[in-house]
Amino acid sequence: MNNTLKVAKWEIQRNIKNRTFLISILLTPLIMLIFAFIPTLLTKLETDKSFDLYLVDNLGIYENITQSPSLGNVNFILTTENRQQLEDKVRTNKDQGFVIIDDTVLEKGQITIYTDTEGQGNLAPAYTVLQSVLHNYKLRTSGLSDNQIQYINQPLTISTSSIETKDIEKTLPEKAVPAIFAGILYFTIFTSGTMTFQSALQEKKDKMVELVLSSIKSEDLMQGKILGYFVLGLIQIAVWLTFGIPIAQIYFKLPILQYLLVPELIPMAFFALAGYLMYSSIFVAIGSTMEDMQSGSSFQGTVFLIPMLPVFVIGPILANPSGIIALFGTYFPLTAPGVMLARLSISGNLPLWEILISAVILLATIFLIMRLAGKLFRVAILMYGKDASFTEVIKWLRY
Amino acid sequence: MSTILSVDNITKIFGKSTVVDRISFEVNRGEILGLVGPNGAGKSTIIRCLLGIIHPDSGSINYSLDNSNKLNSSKVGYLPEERGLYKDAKIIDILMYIANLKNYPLDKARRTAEEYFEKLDLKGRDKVKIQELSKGMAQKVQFIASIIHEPEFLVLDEPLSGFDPVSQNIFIEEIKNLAAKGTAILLSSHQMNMVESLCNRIFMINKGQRVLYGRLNDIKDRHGSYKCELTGENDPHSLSRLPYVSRIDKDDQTIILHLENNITPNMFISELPSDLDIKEMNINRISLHDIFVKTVSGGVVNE
Repeated sequence: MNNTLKVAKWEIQRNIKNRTFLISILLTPLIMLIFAFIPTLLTKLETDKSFDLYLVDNLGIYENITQSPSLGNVNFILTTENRQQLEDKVRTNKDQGFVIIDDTVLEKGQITIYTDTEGQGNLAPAYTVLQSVLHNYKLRTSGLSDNQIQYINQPLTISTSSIETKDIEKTLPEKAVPAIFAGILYFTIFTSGTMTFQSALQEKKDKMVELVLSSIKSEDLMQGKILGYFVLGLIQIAVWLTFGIPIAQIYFKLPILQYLLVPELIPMAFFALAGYLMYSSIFVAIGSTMEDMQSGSSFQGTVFLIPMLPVFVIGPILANPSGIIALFGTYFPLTAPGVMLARLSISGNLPLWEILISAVILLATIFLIMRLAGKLFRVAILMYGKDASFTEVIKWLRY
Repeated sequence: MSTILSVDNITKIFGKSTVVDRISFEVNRGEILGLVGPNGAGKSTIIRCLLGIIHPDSGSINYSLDNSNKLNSSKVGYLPEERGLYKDAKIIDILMYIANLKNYPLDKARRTAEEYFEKLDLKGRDKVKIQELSKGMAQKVQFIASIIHEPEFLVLDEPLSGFDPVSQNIFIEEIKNLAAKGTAILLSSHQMNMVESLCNRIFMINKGQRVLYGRLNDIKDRHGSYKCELTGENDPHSLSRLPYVSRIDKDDQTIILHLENNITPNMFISELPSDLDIKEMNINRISLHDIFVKTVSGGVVNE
């Protein structure tokens, strides 16, 4: 067996047998789900309670209000009591309020709902209903027919469409599924890359380097680690997808696989792999220059920012996919993997030549970075006693 | 005795300092060559060069393994001075990993491991993780890791540090056994008494350069002097005027008289004055320790 494969196999077995790895595979999606659903769940709990809203209707709109389909949990109750009586009533009861609709409301353009306390989250449907009903009331009293009102209320949406590419209309889930997948890929690139960093550092900490390097070349050790954590990353994604796809399919009732298996998946996989190779080479080499994780002042920590770079440019790129920042993000190798993953997953009709140029630049950079990383790793992994300084790293790169 | 490794004129330069300066030596099958020298003399660099971890800037390293003069790492074993093993891994897993890296058949490695577990009091603990072992236990595992693939050439760097005296004796026997079976061993240590008892030949290095090389007896003959430890009521000044005494050192109650080169104990004793107060007297050939200190520090021997 090839030495690189031996090291890779060892790293895989070590982690698979390790409880921390298994727990992190299962826990990460769980934590994400919790963070995604708990806030909505809690809000739902709050807004699920029904709300009684007393209405003093001097304009005759009660019927229009009750006919509205989006009343939610708000009960409009018609009343003729005066303000003082209503105030007394509402003060003693939670989840109650009153509103007086008369000509002054129309003149001032201000509707006020009185409640016992201030913020009432579950009142939101009442706002929209009152607004639209009064809006229509104004139009009707101005002498417009129902048809005219409908015509005016018809909303206008604006979109742009490129004449160069055949625009295939995509539904939201059709766009979101590849984007979420791209996000998972990028997250895995980052975590697996971080693990190569940890692994190089641990190798030094456990003082196994000399024994291992007296048996195999440092290149084999480095490549074995990169390969090993690549496979572990694949295992992680595979586990997530085997559980995630059926669950999502049942929960959202969407053909997830069909949305996922689009032609863009191939370049997406390429850029994910390229990104992993680039970042993990950097990480494993920088990890080998460190003595332990706790030394916070060292420059090594800054390498973790490199995969974060696309985050800075992704906003402007989405705003203007053919702007100068998008161009930079696509061709600058350190941001290319993240930017291309995002662009491919969202647009679906990138020009082929853009993808190819970005890929070529990226491959050339990876070739260079892997060579430099190999050089740095070879020297740094044997150094003991302290974290290497930035100048030392530069010096070792020149050996 | 056939040569298994010959080092020819190797030099290694780090930045501006020459860490290893034109070093040549040989290691033969079945012999234990002691590599000694003060801290920072270049021992570790030489070892790393031998093992192919780094490469010398000039000179050549030739092995005679498997009809090839190249380093074949599967025939070479190494016990580094920096002690450590993957802490979160099981003993047997690490040993199998190393054997695998050395291209050694795993079933054979497993049998060898079992043998050593028995010998070194580790029986039944093969599935224990390294972090659960005591330091000495972990070092035993590391020793096994260095020889599990039956190397023909073995480098031991401070093999006994950290062991209790009982374990030390076990390992001294084990090292002798390996040499008797034909393994060529390079032993680097600061424990001169162990080097003296184990090694057939010595290579001493200081500041990257060879200072001594040869059979231990020849080296002692060449340094050819004796020392006399004398306990008694004597005036140090008069002692220094005794015939054949080159130098004296005072050590509490004991005075150490260093004899001139080529003076035998008989010659020295026959010339001792009758009024010398002798409560205790030991005359010994100077030890490797003395030679080491004398050579490295330029002559201040104090034992």
